[in-house]
Amino acid sequence: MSETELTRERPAIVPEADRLRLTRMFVDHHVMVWRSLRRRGLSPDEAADATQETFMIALGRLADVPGDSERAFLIGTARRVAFTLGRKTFRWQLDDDMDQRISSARDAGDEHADVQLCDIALSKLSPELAETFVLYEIEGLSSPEIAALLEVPLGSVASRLRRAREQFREVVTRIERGLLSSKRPP
Amino acid sequence: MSKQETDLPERLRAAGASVLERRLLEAAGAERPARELSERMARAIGISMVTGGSAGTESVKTDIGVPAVKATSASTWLVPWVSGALLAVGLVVGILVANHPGARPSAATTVRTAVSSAPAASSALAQPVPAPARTAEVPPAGSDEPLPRVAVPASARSRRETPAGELADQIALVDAARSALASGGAQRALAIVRDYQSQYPSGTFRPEVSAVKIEALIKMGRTAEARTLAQRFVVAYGPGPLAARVARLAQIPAP
Repeated sequence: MSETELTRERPAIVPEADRLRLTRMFVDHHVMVWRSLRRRGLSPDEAADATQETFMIALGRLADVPGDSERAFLIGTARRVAFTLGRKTFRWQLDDDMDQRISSARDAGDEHADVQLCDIALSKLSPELAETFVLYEIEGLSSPEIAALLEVPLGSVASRLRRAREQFREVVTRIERGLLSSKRPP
Repeated sequence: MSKQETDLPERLRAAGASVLERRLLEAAGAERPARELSERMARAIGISMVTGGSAGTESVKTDIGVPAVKATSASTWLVPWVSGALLAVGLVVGILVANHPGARPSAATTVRTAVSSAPAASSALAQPVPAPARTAEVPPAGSDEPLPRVAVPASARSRRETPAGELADQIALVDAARSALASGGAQRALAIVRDYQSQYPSGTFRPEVSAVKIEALIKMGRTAEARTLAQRFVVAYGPGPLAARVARLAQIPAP
C-alpha cells in the first residue's frame, strides 16, 4: 500500500517513552480490548481491526491518558470505535433462530461452542444491560470504573447488573433446555 | 442513593452461578486472539510481537528492532539498555544533523524515526538544538514543497510544560494551515499539518490540525482517507463542536 494519510497517521516520530508505554499497554491490555469487542458480536478479525484502531487512537492521545486509567481509556475508546462500526455489526439480529444457533454451537467444539453460546445469551440482553454485564462479570471492572465509562450513576450500574443477571439466567436456562432436547439418543 | 443501590454483588463466576452460566462466562473470559491476530495488531500499531516460549510469556519489540520482554510483570529491567541503544542512535543522528545543518536527509523517515527515539534523559537534551525561526518553516504561498525537518527530540517537547514561545510556534503553524486551506491550497495545508504532527506529536492543537487535514483531504477528493480519519477523530475527540464539524464535512454520523 502506498503511503496515504492513513499510513502517515502512524507517527514516524514517537518519543521513546511513549513507544515503550504503548508497547506495555498493548501487552497488558490488547487481549481484554479484543475480547470486549468480541462480546459485542464482532468476528475475531473485525475485533482485531477495531483493537488496532483503538491503540492507534491511544497512541495519538497518550499524553492525555493518566497512568492509572489506561485500561478504562482503552475500553472506552474500543466502545466508541465499535459504535462507529454501526450497531448492526456488533449485535446478532434479534430475530435469528436461537435454537439453530444453539445447535450449531453445540457442534462446534467445547470451548469455542461455549463462547458462542455465551454470545448468543448476551445477544438476547438489551444492549445497555449486556454492556454492564460484560464489563462486570467477564472483564472484572469495578462498579466505579463502569459508572465512569458509561457515564451513569453508580446506582444505575447496580440496577443494570441486576436486570442483566435476570435476563442472562433466563436465556441460559433456555439454552440449557435446548441443549438437552437436541441431544441425540445413544 | 442508598448503600444497597450501589453495592454490587459478588461476581457470578465466584458465587451464585449455575453450572452452565459459570461455564459460559469462564469460556468467554478466557477467549484470546490467535497468535497471528495479535501479531497483526502489533504490527499495525508499530510494534512487533514474538509470542511463544513458556506459557504466559510474550515478547515484543518495537519497530526499531529493540526487543522487550514481558513475563507477567512490567518490563522495567529493559528500560536502561533500550534507552542506551536508542540514545546511541539518537546521538549519531543528532551529530550528523548538527554537523550538516543545511543538509536535507535523503531518507527522511529513517532520520525522523531515529530522532524520535532519542530518550528524554539523553545528553542531547543538555545541548538542545535551537528552534528555528518559525517563519522559515512555513512554505511560501502556493508551494507544495514538504517542509524541512528539524532535529528537535520529540520527547524533549512532550515531556515538559509547553513554554509560551513554543505555543506561539504551534499556533503559527495551525494558523498557516488554516490560511492555506482557506485560500485553496489544500496540498500546502496538508504539508503544514504533516510538519506540525511531526514536530509536535503531543502538541496542544492536535485536534485542530487533524481537522484541517481531514478538510484538506476532502477538498483534494481523497474522501475515503478523509472519512476513515474522521471516524477516528470523532472517537478520539468527540463529542464537541469540532468533532461535529468534522463529521459533517466527512458525511459520517455525528458523535
